[in-house]
Amino acid sequence: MFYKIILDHEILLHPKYFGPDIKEVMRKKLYSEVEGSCSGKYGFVIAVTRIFDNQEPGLLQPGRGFVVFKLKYEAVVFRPIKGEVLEAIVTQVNKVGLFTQIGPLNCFVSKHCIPTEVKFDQNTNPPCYRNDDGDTTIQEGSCIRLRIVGTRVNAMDIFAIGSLMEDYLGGIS
Amino acid sequence: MSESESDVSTSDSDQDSGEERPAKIPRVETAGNGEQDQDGDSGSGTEDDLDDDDDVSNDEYEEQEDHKRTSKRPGHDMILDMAEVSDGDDDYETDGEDGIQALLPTTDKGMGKSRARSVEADPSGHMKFMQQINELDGDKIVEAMAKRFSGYNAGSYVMQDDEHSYEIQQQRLLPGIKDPNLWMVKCRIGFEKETAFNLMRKFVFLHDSKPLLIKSVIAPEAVKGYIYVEAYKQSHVKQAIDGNSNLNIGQHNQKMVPIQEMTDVLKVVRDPTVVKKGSWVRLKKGIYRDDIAQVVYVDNSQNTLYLKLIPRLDLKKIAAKYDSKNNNRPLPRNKQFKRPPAKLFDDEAIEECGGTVSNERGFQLFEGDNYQSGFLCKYFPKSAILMDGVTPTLKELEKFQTNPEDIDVNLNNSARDIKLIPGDFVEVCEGELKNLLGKVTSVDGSNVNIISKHEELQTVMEFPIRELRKYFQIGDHVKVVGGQFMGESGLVVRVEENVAIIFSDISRDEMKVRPRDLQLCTETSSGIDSQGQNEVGDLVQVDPQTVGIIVRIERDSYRVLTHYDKIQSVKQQAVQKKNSRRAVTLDKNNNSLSVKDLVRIMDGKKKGSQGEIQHIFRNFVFVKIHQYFENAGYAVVRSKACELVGGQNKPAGIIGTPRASPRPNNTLQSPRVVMSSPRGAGGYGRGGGNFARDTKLVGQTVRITVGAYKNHIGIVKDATEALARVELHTSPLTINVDKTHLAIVSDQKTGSQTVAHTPNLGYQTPMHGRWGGATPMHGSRTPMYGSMTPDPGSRTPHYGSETPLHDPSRTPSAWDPSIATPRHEFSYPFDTPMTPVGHLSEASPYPSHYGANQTPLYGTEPISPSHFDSVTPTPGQSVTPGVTASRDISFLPPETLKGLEVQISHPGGSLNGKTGVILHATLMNKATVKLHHLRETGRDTVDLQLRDLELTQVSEGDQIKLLRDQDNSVYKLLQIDSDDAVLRGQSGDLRMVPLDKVAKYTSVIS
Repeated sequence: MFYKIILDHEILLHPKYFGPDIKEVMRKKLYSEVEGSCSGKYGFVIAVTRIFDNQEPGLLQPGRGFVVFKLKYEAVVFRPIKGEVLEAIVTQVNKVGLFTQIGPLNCFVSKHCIPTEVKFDQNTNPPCYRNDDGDTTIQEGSCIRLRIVGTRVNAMDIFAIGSLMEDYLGGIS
Repeated sequence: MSESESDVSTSDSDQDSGEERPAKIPRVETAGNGEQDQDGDSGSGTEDDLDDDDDVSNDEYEEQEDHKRTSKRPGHDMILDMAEVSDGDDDYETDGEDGIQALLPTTDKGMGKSRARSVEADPSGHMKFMQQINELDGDKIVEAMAKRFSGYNAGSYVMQDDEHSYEIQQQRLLPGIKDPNLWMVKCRIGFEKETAFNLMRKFVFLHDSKPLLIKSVIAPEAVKGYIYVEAYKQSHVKQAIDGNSNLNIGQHNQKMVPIQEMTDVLKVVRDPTVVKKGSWVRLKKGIYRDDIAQVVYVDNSQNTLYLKLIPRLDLKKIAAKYDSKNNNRPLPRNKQFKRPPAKLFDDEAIEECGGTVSNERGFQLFEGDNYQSGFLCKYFPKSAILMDGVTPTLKELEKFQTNPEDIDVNLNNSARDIKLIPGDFVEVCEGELKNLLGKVTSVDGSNVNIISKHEELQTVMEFPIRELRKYFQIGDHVKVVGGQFMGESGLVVRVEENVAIIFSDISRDEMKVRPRDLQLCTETSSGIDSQGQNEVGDLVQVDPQTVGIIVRIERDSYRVLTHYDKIQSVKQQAVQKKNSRRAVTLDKNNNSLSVKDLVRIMDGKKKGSQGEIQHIFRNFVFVKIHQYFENAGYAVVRSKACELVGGQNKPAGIIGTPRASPRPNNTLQSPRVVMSSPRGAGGYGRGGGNFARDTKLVGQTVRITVGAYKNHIGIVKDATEALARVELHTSPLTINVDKTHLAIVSDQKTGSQTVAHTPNLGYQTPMHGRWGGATPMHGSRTPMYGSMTPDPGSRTPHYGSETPLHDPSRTPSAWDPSIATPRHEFSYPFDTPMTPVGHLSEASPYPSHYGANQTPLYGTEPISPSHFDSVTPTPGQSVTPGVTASRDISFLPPETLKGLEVQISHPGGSLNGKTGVILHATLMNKATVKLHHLRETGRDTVDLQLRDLELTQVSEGDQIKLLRDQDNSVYKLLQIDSDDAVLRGQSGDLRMVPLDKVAKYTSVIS
């Protein structure tokens, strides 16, 4: 799920940037530090949409000369929710299951969570999961729809496991 | 098979029961010939006593009714809840005799005292109402009841008081006085069900002619020797059971079940002893006394167990028996009974004794007993079997030839093994509440209180621990707390009956774990072993020849991915941690690789994937590939199958081609210097500015002007804006000196000094020569290392500069004690592309280069700082074109040079480009060369400086000598395979060595 939330971030700035375009530097630094990052609590920060202007003054770090600015910004975050149905791109296919990517999120679909009629076929190149009719083929690069059945959330990382054991889940064209 | 029942709640049935009441009430009273005597008497007494108190008006009832519905409902409810709780408890604690206290909405004279128990707890007046009902005569009761219950069906009541309706309805379903009674009829044991079916057939058969008046027949699973017949009158029962042979014993005497106990009849009573297929029992009697047996099948209706055990056949007796048959002798009486030994059934032995063994349906039949694969399979009555607390000894298990896994599964259900803690989610796996989910609230010994998750049963219930099973859902994050995978954590991807499949966080593969070994948790496992010594991803020495990387930690072993790309399981004690932080190797394009470099795998199974180097062992690199999930994402590849990401693509085979196009080595280093700077900044505390290594100073000979080391002379190993690291000439010491305290020994002087040192020392003793020549190279090479380590903290530039020094793979060109020592350092334990000479070729330009430049003895140009500039090149700039003496021999041990074919490289000289064979080489770096083309040159032999000589290129079919090889043997070059040469020795053995390690050899007679 995507959320638009307000977050905080601290920026450490070298004194050499203290000049007329300090705001621009801060903005760029914020973008580079925050976008693409992941926190277990909020999820993946996709894009910063707004930076709030009423900044507090920066805090000079004793003995270092660096200044810490606290920035408040609004960002679009992607937080996978258990039970959510998402579309994913298969990055790896092996006998254990499928490894997929949902944007920045890595998601694993165990073979136990793939319908039994869709079997692993090692002999094809690249290896794939497919059913006997051959109308479903999931291989590296395929786009699939899956349901997230579990997430492992660490401080800096989110990992999900998905399932295809439902109607309308699986390969999509 | 129950027949139509009268429903007290409907007005119709009220009507019906009203009609039947006259018949029923007397029956209830007369029924008291069994256990019901007391109740029946007291009931009738009550009625008699209060019979005349019929002046209570209907209005009053209504009032009370209203009152009850509005204000007293909660209290009433509480009773119901209590009743349900006790219901649950009784299921497990009692044998059904004093089961639930049914709370009956209707009253019954027969209930009497026992009902009073619940009346005591009734503050609401419900019972009061009941008592008043009792005080009325039949018609009035009907009226009152009709009033009382009229609202129930209309749904209005439900509307009014929705939350309690269900319980009320449930309560209403309980049997009352108007309902038929249950009669207990004795039956032949084991024929309960059959009898019930018989009665049903009888009922159906007689339905049209002379219908049976019974309502139903019940044969509960757990009840032995009785069936229940539901009827209004005992006479109806007698009529029904008449003539049924199975019920002969019950023909004359039937007991009525008291109404409040009627519900207990249908309650599922579980056998307290849990005997299941596969469990172990012991026999109590007979020759098999105390023998262990395994349950094959449980026949509850017959009260027997089908057991598998080791037979005790007395072969002597059998032999005697069959003998006696033949000879007509009487059986020898066995006065002293001796128990025959337990032995597996052996049909041959039996047949030897004269017995006959027949085969039937996979069994062997002998004297009426079935034997299967040596075991006796026989029905035994439960009474003759000890079922509780039987644990087979290991010896016994061995006899049964069961593998320990099965036993484990069997013991699985024993209570002691399951550990539940409050907060665990559990599933009831046995009993009537099977599949109920709940959360453990408290654990008291073997009893566990759980709060049910069922929406209509949110109460705390107590269960014996063995009836519970830990419950996990797909997607739960769990920790393994027992078994083989203890300590791991992962996500549940599938839950089966007795196994959950976990996707491990660390090793990123799947494991099967029993749910009881799991526990919900949020943190991920650290992947550190129990001793905390090694963790996943550590490089360990498995045996003297093998190293590997730990990909999984199990209870007391590691799974190790060895450098042979095999998974191996090793005991935790058997491995030794190995450090490869400083190891360096070369990639496909001869970029040097070190730990934490990003590489792309160019060959093999994982072709195309990209990963970070975790460890280096010889020319194997252990790479962590993030997209790769087997072996925890670790893979082992040969370094030559890797490509440094962002590295320069040097054309393959460059090593083998001497004097190839300008070596890009230096050009490569320049950007790295830049790259390394911000990182170095941290290490050196220079702030975030643009730190530039003062490469001009590096390699200079300086004199320290101030301080304790005043007047010491040293070589600058590394320099920054402010500091220089100076290696003192006099002592093996490298110190940091402020640059202002240094005086550069003048350029000219430097030159002469270097000259003074280098040629004399260096060229006389090759080791020093190399040293002197090599020194500047280190300066220039240093940054490369710094830049190659993506981790800023771990490597300061200084560190980087030192790294190669101690790296064995770099020895030839590096200052390494091992090099200074005799030659055997060149005999490397492995003949791989990254062997010394491989490096040599790369490293050699520097020595030769500097040697040429710095030593006026052979000097072609004076040394100057600008020279160093050329060493710190800009990208794309070639350093010193033409001097890439990758096949330079000047630093080779002179005694090994004899017979090697060389090319003279003396720009400007008359002999430039000519080839010859070295006849003799001296420690003075001079060699006598016999030229090939005598006619052209007019000279036979010439004396030349070694630095002016280069090895010629080898081609297939050439005689070959290995450079720096101890054995001096001559090989034949069979084939050139990119960078490697395939050699055949004189003994016919094949070897593969890097191309740059070989030299063309011509035998010379000296």
